[in-house]
Amino acid sequence: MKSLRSRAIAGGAIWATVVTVAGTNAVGNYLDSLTLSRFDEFLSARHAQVVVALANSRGEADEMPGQIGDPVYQRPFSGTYWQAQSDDGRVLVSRSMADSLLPAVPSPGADAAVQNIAGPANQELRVLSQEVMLDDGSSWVVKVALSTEAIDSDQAELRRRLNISFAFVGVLAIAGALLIVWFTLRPLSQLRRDVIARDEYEGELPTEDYPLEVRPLVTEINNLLARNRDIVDRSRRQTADLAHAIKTPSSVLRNELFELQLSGAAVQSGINALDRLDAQLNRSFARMKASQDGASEKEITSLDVSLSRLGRAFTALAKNKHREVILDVPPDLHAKINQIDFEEILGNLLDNALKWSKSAIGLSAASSDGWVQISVEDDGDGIAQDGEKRVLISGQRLDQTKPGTGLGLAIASDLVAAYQGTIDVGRSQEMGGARIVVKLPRAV
Amino acid sequence: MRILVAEDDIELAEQVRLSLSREGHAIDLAPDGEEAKFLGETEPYDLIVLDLGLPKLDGITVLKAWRNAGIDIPILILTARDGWADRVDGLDAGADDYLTKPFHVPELLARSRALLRRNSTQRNPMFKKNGVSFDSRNGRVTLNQLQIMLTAQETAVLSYLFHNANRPISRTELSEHIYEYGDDRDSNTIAVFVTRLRKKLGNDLIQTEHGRGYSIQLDT
Repeated sequence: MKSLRSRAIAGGAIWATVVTVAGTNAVGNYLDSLTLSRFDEFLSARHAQVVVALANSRGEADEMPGQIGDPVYQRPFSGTYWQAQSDDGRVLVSRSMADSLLPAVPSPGADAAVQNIAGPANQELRVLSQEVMLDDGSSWVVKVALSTEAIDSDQAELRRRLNISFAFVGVLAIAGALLIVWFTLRPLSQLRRDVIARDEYEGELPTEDYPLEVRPLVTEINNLLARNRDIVDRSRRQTADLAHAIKTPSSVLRNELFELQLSGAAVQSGINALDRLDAQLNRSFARMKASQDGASEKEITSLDVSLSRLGRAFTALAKNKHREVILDVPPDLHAKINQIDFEEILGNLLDNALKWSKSAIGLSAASSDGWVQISVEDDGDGIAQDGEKRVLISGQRLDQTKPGTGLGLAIASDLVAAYQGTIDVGRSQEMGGARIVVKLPRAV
Repeated sequence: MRILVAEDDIELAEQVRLSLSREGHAIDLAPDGEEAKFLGETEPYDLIVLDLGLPKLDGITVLKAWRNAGIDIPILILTARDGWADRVDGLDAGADDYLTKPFHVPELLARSRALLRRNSTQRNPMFKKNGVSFDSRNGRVTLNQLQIMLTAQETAVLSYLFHNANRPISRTELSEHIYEYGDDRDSNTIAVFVTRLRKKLGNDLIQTEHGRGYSIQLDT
């Protein structure tokens, strides 16, 4: 059983059953013995009455009804009987016996003996027998028998009520178990919600907010999260360092080859190889970055802050090309994405827009339920319809007239996908050129 | 024109220095951030090429320090970091353009020229006046279609005057912008260079404004 909840419920149910069954039996047996001893007291009182009557009638059968006028002894098979047998062979019985005799029982002696026997008319009887000595010196075995029918039905009724009561107790116990399970597991549910919500912030889970027993687990989760962040950070840094370490010598090599080419040496195949190397490295670094992002903590980027930064940066670049950047970003928009990745996506898109624009590029943002939508537009020639899908594939350069690796849009597309966003290529209604729309999950 | 190249890779820095000085610029090299910051704050450069991954003091910090101190020299940043966040950091801190490594030196030269021309009204890399044409792309000078051979210093003086056309330039300012750091700067030699330039290119090109310096007047 993998679920704590079902474990606790099963445990609670088993315990409730054990308690109910044991309780029913214990209380039932106690009540049975209680009713039986009451019955025996009653039997004993009746016996004393018969002994007194027998003494008063001095063993004369005709005198007995006068001594015991109780009608239950007169009605045949009433379930209440007496019988007295003297040592000299005289036998007196109550009328209710209707001329039959109680079965013989072993000689009881002077102590009262109680036992169950089969009586007339198939009645179950409980009989008290005792040997008594009358004043005249005669010795009598006096038996009084009572049908156990009444006590049996009493006991059955008690058992029934007892079962109902204990069933109710059992139901209460199971309900209680469920309540305890819910209450006990609540911090774990909270932990689950908190772990999910850690997407929203960088901080640790608040250890003090959890019960003592859960705290070590929370601490461990915090350690794991910190280690995860650490690993991602380190591998990011290593990727960046590696990129730096490879690209500077690659620049040197490229420039040496270029110089050699200027002086007439045949180095084109060397330059081509270096081109392939650089393209391969760029793609690999982009891939490494995208895979690190998949593993990383999700964070929140303020579009306000980041797009303004990008706007300022690209205004500087646009100025060099005598272009204008038109910025339209409403405040208080946030996207569920790491800021570095967000700027990587938009940087690539704005770079393309700037490259193809004639006089201006547009950067705008808007929100619609659950999403933020960032649009990058330009007033260039736009992308032909059949190329709209192809530009998102790495290395696809639809226009070879301007420099570029053909990786920009592919990198942006990979990153957007890593954050469950979408990227669409179309034509700008307002500016006439290309319009790229990035949709990302909105953070509130 | 005087250019600071802040790059810690000696070979790359040397390649850049060589290419830029071939265009007639005076180049200072700074191998780390501290040196770069000091030079940028004290020398009147016309352009700074700044690698963001400098030792001792990183490029962004140096860049911010310069901009905070009111230094508005055009700055071209070099970054090997793969990613826009770095470039945006640099541009947002006040850089004017960026190049990502690995880059082609011709690309660096083109960007540098564009930034050097930014303060002048000229968009064309070819400067022309009185039959003299100066190609800022390679420092080549022609007079009536004939190529004129100039020394490095003569080219530097001519280049600075063209880039800062229509305003008088003092000898001191000229000497600050054509000599490298540590060169023996003698503003008297400026007069010698100007005389030689006039001899080679005609007397009307460079005008003397008494007490204020030299100027080239270009139609705007």
